[in-house]
Amino acid sequence: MRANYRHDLDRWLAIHQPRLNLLVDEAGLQQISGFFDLTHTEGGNPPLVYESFEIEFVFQEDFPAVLPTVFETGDRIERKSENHINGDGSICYGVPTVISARRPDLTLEGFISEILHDYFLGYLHFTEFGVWPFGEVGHGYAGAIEYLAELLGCEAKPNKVKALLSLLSLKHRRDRWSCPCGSQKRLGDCCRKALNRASLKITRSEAIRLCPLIVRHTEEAADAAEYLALVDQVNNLKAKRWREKAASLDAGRKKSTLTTSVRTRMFRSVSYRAVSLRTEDVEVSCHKVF
Amino acid sequence: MSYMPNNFTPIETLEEYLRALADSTALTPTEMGKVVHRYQSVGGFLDRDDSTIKRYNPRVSPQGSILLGTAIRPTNDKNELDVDLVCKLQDGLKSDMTQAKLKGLVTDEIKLYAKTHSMKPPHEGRRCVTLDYRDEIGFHVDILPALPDADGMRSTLRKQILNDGVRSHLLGSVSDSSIAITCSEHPNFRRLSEDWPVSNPEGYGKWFESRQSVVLLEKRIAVFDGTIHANVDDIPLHEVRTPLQDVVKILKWDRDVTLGDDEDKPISVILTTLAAHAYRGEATLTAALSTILTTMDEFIEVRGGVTWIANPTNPSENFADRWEGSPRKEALFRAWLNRARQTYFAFMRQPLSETSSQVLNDAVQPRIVETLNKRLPPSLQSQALAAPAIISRQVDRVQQQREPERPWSNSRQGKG
Repeated sequence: MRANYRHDLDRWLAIHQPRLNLLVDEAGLQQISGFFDLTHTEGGNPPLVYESFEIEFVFQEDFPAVLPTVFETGDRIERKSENHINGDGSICYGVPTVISARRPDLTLEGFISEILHDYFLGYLHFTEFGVWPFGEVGHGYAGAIEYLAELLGCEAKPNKVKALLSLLSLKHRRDRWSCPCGSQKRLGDCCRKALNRASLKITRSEAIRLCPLIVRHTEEAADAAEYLALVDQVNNLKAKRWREKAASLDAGRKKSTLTTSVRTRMFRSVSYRAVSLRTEDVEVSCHKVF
Repeated sequence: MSYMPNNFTPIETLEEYLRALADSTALTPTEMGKVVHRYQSVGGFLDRDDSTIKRYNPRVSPQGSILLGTAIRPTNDKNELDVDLVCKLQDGLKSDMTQAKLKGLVTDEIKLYAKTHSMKPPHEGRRCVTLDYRDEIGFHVDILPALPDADGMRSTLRKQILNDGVRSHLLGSVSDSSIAITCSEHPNFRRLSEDWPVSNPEGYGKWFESRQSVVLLEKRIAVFDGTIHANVDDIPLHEVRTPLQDVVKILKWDRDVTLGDDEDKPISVILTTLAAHAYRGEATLTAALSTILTTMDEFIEVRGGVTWIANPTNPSENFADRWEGSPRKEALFRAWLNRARQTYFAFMRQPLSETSSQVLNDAVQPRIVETLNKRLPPSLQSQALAAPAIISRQVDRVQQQREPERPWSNSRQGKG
């Protein structure tokens, strides 16, 4: 983050978003909260506000490598996935990892005036016309792949996206190479055309930044799937043991209420773990914002 | 002191609201008339036949906010209105007298004036002689003894002005109006010398006029009736009203309300100079306030590591010279400016209503906001009652103009 950014950010907020306040607590935590105003950018001095949303977010020194989670605190937007908003009020302004990789020079001013602006403008458009004007993709890993596939102009398949990004991150490519998408074909006979198209849209440096993110995403997704499967196995095993124990208890007397409560508790516990894992795994949603 | 609104005409637009706010901060015509009468009275007394300085052809003229038409009322009963005057001995020469002698001559006459008018004796400051008045509006008059500046100093100023890009057609009038003033802390205060402190309040006034020349001409033509003033350009600034003057009044009022008696608060000449630099000839107060708030700090320079706000009529003079020794002054100015931006942008970007005006409470004083809100049409007030049909229609029209629309509203209407 650049030097004197506090002074510059204060000045920018006072002029462009006067109802947003920058607060810094004793621990150095920096928070922006207040009303985000959508204004007409043309034909007015000062510009007129046509809609406002109450927001709050905390940002860190590592911005823009790590983008903040922004909460809509005014309850203006119904908490449902088609509004690209999560149950806790955090908004889905895009794929943070992709934004970070594509916009390494993103400033907080840019984050507010472009990314948040486009989200709220898009939301207003969506409420009136049922369409997100800047497009939208799904949530999580699949959404990131979908978004990148569209950007690269290729099929929305992880192996294709990964292959193109890894090829784009290289200085030279040879048609005689085996295509990294796993098709067992030569590059010249497989992804070469898609690669040429994609090279017009994504620079090498962007591809270099995106590559490890996608790989990490893939690994995390694989780990998550494996873990869930393991949880299911453990769950089944435990359930089987409890069934056996219950059966042995039932053998001599009436069915125990204790058994039922223990089963319920166990079920809840396992479900909770699965749900929390999925929540962590789900990337905030991903409609295009740049 | 009780606040009385200048008029009770309804306020229907943001522009009218801000103009009414500027009215509330300004001196009423009666008070302004009283101030003008007082300084003319001092001028007449100094120029009377048996005056000891009559032979030097004294002329008393206003400087500062009275000259520029940006004077504001005191924000509370403790503060006084400060009227700055220059007493220039037009036929006096630096070669004939020391600074001490000039100050003594003028002070003696002012003492006599005070005695004749049964007033408290004047007290001497570093540069000025101060006369206290006790009226329904308390004010004091600072009289600055001065001599016309010698040719050498004028040519120096000319060079500086040329180098620093003041408009060439102003060159003559700006540099010729420079004056030599007295300062009791100056090394040559008691010595006969050509080296005197210099100032140029009249030139500053000319520069301030030049920053708003187009708007000012329109306003002067509007008030010109050919009876009192022979020429349109002779109409003094305090008799016309321009967006730039209103902005300066609003900013000064905001500063006095929000920073109170803080000794480090930005001085008026800094606000006035930066506002005049930032002004781009906007015809409305809303646009002028928006532009000035946005860009006024861009005219603060840094020269050799020192923050510099140059006097436009004497570029070697730094209006922010005290900021160097007291960094809090600069920090306070920047913090104040940001808060003023927040307040006025939050207010001006919303459609006008009693609710939207609440953001001004801290910056303007709640009693003034309350008084202005009473002039809003009922439909713009929070506790809206049924409005008469004529007013309702007018308000509808105003609201239609100001009704915020989605960016796609026009295209949507086009599609039918």
